[in-house]
Amino acid sequence: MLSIDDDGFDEDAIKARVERQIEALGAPMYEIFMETGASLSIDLERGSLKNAEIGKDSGIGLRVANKLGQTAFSYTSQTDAQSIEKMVKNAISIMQMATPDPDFKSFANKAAIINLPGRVVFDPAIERITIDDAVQLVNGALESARSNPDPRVYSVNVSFKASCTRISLFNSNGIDAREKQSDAILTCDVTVKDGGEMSSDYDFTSGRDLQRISVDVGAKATGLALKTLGKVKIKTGFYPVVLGTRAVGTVLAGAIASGINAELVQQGMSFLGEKVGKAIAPDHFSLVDDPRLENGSRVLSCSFDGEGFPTRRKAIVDAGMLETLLHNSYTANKAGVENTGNAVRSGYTSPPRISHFNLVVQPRRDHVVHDLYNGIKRGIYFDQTYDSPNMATGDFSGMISSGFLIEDGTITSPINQATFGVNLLDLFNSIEAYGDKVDDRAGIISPAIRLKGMHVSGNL
Amino acid sequence: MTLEGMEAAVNNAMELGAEFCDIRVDSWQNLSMDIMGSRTRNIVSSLGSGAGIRALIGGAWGFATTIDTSKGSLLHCSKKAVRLAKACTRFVKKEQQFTISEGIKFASGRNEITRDDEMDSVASEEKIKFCLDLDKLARARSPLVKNVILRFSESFGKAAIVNSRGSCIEKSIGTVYTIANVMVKENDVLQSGSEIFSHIGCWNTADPVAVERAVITAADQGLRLLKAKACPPGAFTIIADNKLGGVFVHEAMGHACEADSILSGQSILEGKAGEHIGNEAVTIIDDGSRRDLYGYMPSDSEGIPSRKTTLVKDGILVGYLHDLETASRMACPPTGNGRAESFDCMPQVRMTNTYLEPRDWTLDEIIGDTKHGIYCKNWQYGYVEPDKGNFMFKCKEATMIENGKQTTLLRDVALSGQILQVLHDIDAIGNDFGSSGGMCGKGGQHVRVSDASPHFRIKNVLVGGMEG
Repeated sequence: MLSIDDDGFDEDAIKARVERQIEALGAPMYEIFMETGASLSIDLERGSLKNAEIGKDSGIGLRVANKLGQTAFSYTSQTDAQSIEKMVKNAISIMQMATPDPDFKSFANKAAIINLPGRVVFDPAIERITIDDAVQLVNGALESARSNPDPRVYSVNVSFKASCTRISLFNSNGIDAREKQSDAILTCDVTVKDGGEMSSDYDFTSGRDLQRISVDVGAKATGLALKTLGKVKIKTGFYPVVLGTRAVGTVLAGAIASGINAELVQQGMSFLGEKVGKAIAPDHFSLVDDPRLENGSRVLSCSFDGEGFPTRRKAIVDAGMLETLLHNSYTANKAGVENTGNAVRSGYTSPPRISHFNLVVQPRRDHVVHDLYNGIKRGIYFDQTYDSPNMATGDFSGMISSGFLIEDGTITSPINQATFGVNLLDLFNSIEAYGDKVDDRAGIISPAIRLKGMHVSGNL
Repeated sequence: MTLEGMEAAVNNAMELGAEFCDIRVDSWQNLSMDIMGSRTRNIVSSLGSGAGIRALIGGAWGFATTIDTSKGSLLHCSKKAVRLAKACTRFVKKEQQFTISEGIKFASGRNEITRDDEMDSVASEEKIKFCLDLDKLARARSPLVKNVILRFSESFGKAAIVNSRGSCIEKSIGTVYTIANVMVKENDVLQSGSEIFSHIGCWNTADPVAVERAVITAADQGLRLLKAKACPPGAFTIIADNKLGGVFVHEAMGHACEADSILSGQSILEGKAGEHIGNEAVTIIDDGSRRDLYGYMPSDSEGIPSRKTTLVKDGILVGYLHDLETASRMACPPTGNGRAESFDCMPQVRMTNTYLEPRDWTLDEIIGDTKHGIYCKNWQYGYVEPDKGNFMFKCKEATMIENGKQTTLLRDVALSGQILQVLHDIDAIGNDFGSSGGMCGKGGQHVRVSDASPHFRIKNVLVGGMEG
């Protein structure tokens, strides 16, 4: 159903067509990104199938540049000669209006790409998936969620999405990179009610192969949602905090990875701009950006980046020291350093930006403990927030969307409503210990982490 | 546009067994750019098009999309949509089966808000130069301005919608959206200010002075924030300005009134219609037909004409926002709130222009009447969890109010509240009115909206501060 091998999207023919136009119209440097893909999604609302969707999309994103460093981007979803001509014309005419940029040297240099084994990024089972398979998965998750007879479970909503894409990149430096990728995600949202109290939680499984997708996500979501009932109010104060893996993604690993985006740093917009080569966390904390991950969900694994440059595993934080920024070809050339291969695309309709891949938190063993809560008299288990920090200052305030009280070394009640405020550098430095169970959630691989604490406002 | 192909595709779906079918074909043109470090970056000039077909059978939708809008492709797509719907039908529970109600009035005809030639009537070069001048304008405010990050986006979209109830709509609309982010630095303190400009219509009808004003506002705000203090944590009385107040209404009430979340059992407002959910001075409206606001559209993505919908009247919950499906399932008229980001997305229930109606306090009276509180201005972002009843938003700057007077300037103030409590806690509503446009995200789709309100005061709002 999601087969993309015979979809008539012929990269070599399209490339030749685009290059002919570029030659005719004149742009000394170019980069052609192509993507063709198919996706299937299905939604189950309160046990009833609601809709099924099939989408096919393909297109070309073109960047052009000249010796003055003027660059521009255009795209088209049509592959006929006329549309391609229009795209190339658009790109070149707008390029001539761009500001000359002496920091632009060239698109990514050609470097040897070692392709990840095909099975790491692509699963033929996803390509063969049928609507009935998808129905079975969502119904399975529903059954799993409903296997808990607790009458407080009020509504269960399940969705599944699978997609296959073939991406390719060519540029005027001779890059020719191609890869087939697949993705699947099964999500279960559970709402619970107890008297006048209403609450909810969700869980998902995702991965590049179908085998990672487990219908047990239903029971897990129900378990999580039920735990959020019986909320208590807390007092405003400074509390010891344990960050769950969901929160690690937002307030720790993800925040560091966003802060070292070289574009942000070069524009003077990051609180981590001046910190490379300096300690930003205790020496027992390390963080790795790993696009070459071959195990686990590996949702962000890929052989080359959004400019066709080889990806590589790298330490971002090594024993507390900030090791590197994340670069694409432009920021690396501007800074005169090696390209880290962190250009990332979100489709053919926009130019690449800089981002991280799978993030792996690596604690030093002597700080891994079996019981993270031991010794916490009154603290907070910070499970989740949807807020984002002020990247310029590192100040981070927001709402604890899901959190629990820790009393005498044990998680007790969910928290009614609480907000937090912390500077990220203080937060990084306050890491004390790590749990011994590692979680793999959508490219964030980490145990729970104990912090000295942070300011939390409550309404008691 | 291939209206004939669209009609053929709809007819084909109906012949194959669809009970209702609609098709949307979108085409667009856009110009966007970033200005960073006084240089253009990521200039994008593009054209695109695509189609999405939806077929309803026994309460299940099949939806298929394609970028090929030829008649043959649309026919093929309609077959796929029907096949998908049929595959799902047997898994639809009896109580969730529905058909689109008879008697629903769809819009029809042409609606040209922006003409085909308007976007190209001003040369791209001129727009780029204007943006580069904005950079200079911000830098001229102070030597402490270290960088200006400006995002400019102009687009012109044409949409055609044809459905099996005989509706055939063609509309075209342009939009301009800019965000200015100004970075300032003094000694070791880094701060930023930001401001949005949004406009219905292409650049030829936008007011350049208003854009310049937005950039200056962003710069001045950043400069002020250099001196701002971190906010103390705890529960406070707050006064919201027009822009923050608008986002408050959107997050605290608007989302929970979207009927799809009521039907999926994910809104705390389910079963609350007719109940007092707030102070009787509170009246909240959603109105997609307001041409002066950024969420304007003549009709929604399902062909329902935009209209004014009262959500809360004098403190009582009186209505929900609907698309075709929720209206049919809940047996009430659709409200014109079925919106899709683009051809490849299913319409969802979305807000348009959402606002709190003004009352009689002046701002001076509200501030003068506040012993201890925080005056919160403009928004960075906001979000809500309708199934938990919590919402949260961040303001750009704030001032402490002590004994009726504004005192210390504060930064990074995060505010959180609970849907069922907060409207009761509004105790003073101003007589002014102001709005801001922005993008609202839900289920992976972003649509333009505007939020508006007078100044108003809320008691007991939880503030996430950093100082002990």
